[in-house]
Amino acid sequence: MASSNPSWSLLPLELLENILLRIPVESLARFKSTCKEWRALLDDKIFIYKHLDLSHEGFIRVTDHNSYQIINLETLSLSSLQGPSKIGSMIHCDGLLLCSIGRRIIEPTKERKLAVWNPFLGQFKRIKPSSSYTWFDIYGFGYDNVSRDNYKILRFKREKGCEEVEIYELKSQFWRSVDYSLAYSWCAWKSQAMSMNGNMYWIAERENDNSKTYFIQSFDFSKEVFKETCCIPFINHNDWLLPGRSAQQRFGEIQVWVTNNIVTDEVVSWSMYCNVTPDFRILPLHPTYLIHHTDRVKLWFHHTDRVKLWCSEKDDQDECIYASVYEIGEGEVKKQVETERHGWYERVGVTKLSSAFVPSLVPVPKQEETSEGCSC
Amino acid sequence: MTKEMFTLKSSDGFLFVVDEAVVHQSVTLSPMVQDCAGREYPINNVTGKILNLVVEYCKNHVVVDGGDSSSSSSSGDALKKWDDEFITQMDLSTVYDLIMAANYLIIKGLFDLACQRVADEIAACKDHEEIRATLGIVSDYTAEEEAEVLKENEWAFD
Repeated sequence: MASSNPSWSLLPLELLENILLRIPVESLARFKSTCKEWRALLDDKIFIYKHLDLSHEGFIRVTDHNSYQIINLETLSLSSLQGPSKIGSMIHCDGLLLCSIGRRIIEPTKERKLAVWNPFLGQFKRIKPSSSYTWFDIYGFGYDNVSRDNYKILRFKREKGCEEVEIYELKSQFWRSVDYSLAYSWCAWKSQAMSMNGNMYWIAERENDNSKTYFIQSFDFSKEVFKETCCIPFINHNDWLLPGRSAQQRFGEIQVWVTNNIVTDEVVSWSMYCNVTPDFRILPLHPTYLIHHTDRVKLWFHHTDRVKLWCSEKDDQDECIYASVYEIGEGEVKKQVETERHGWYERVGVTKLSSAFVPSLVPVPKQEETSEGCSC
Repeated sequence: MTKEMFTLKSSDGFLFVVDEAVVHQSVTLSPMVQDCAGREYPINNVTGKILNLVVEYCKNHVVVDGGDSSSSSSSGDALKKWDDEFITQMDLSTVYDLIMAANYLIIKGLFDLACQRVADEIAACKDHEEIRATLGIVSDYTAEEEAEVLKENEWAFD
């Protein structure tokens, strides 16, 4: 069916754009080398963000020390790729992943590292800190609403009673301090965080008079301020969704709670979206909260009015673990796709790390010092 | 009541007689319904071969689009199947002409169908060599430039 008609080179740019916008990032990333016109289009910011806005969300998870699996929730197709090893956590924003490298439990004396990675462009860049990263740091990732491609990293340093906030701009490549004036002390559950619409949201807790309050803490990367978004009234200590709980517990029920619009400044309120009791035992992949859809904060990923649940499952008989996507809606839980199985004892801990993810062509700015733009 | 018929004339002189429902599918041609009944309407940048395909698409879409709103999903499926067969059997050179025609005549369904066909063809290519061969694109990179672009996507992980 190949045509050697040369007229395709003469296709008007807006028509070429229309065609390329329909091609998934996984393929597009390979084709910059076709000709200069294609490269110019694929590097063009307007095209990149148009394409991003049309792309469907999915998930990415760690399957092995440097292997990752991505699922496209529209086609339910699975793909794998290689990535950084020993990743401890990741935050997704616009197809970029802010990765924290180093796992405290395994190598507590080794230095923690931070990097930005676009899996589909194969671009990876270490972010050097102003002072060594510690295990008490909390990170955020987002962008300025004035300029969508101005990506920023937040570092909330808490050491010896001292709290400081710094921001790193990917474009300018330096850290600067930011005023921090919250009167209360809070901490975030490290893997219970996400970036949405350029801002950062964490599930946070603070202690007052021997009891704990749970709330959603946010950071606005445009104004560069923290804001306590809302409290979370339905979490309690016995809830299996708290981290640190044994993965052996039986989970009877899944509740999905939804907020109203949290982007505007109106008061945030929660309502229960649905409540199901699956007839199987599931182990939630981190993060279990705050997988978003447009302007709402939801407990699980929400796509076309049905909630998708990405979780890992254990087969006791075969002693293996695998991940599955379920769809929750209308009071029932339905399995949609199952990934390959791994031996349970090989993968404990690793398979829990995952994130909502949208493939994109957003570039990672190159390191200016090295001429080749490779490792830093 | 007889249906109004319109005559479309391709750039190479072929005539196609179509009814109002077909004409209305083209945003460009729609206004002619008021002016051109009974006269030939020239479409100067579309050949007879392509106009024939455009008319065939539009005729097929009238049957369903003009139907009542309770048309079943099976007729929607049947139409999709027809669309798939329609576009798949064409070679890419014809698809190119169809994209240009659907763009000029502003027939969204046909435009999307044709663009998606090309997009699928490109996505199936494993590398730039295959795309260049499939679409007849000549590379304007030097060997060094091409190597540099390819290296952009190979950063190390340490």
